[in-house]
Amino acid sequence: MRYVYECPVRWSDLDAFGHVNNARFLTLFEEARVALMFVGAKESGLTSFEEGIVIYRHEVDYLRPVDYGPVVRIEMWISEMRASRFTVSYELFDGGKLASRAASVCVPFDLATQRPRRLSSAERAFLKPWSE
Amino acid sequence: MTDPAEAAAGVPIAGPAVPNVYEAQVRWSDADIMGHVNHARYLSFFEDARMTLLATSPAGLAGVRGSRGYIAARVAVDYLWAAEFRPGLMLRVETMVTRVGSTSWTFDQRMYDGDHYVARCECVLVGYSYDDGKTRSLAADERDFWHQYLMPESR
Repeated sequence: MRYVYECPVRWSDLDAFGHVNNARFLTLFEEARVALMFVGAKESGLTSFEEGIVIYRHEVDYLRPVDYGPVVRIEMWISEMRASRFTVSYELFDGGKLASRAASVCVPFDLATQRPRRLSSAERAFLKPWSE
Repeated sequence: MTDPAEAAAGVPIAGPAVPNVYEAQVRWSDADIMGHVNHARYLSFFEDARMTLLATSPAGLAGVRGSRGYIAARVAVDYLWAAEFRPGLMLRVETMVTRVGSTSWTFDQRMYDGDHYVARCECVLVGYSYDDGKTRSLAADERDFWHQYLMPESR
């Protein structure tokens, strides 16, 4: 199942070409992750992601430029789950057209000890319905 | 009886003076190390509120082909309360106008986190021709448009 997030685009996301700057795509994808793993998880009683999670890797393919408009649509799913990391995959649509494909490898992280940690069973259960 | 052509030629419209309301979505990366929404990002929220309103104005968005250009001459922000970041936070921006001149106009914008009045912004935009590289006069339809948002005490 895919998680769908409508992400507002800011005027300041545009660069001199009138396109959403390529680096800002990471911020838009981040907003989709925050909506699911912080806001959505909290609604399900799970706050451990909010207590610490770091990025191990990002990869982004740019298929077409994104112009200024109120929102872009991000479809997101969990494409891989391992003991201490998982991969989030995304497709970003602008006006119904696929503009970008991306993936992020996320690692749960203990901020107190500054060490990565394993996924808890509650976290795995929360992510499972979004796995494809 | 008012001649409609005369009315269209620049007689200010006395609208209801209801502010334009924009909901700014705060991003994870807008938070600073204090856990507050970083003060510099407020300028982007005020800008997005203005741009959304400008997109519906006769001039359209500056920089878009066929638009009548404008450029910022002044932005001043007063910080009244520190908005604490939490995921999913939305800040409400109310935009009104305090002055409509022959070449420029002034916005009064207020930002709220729920009932908390967070910040106030004063912004002056100047009509500007990007083709000629100089200031231009505002057209009657532009002045009429901004008069609709003129605060009652500014009329």
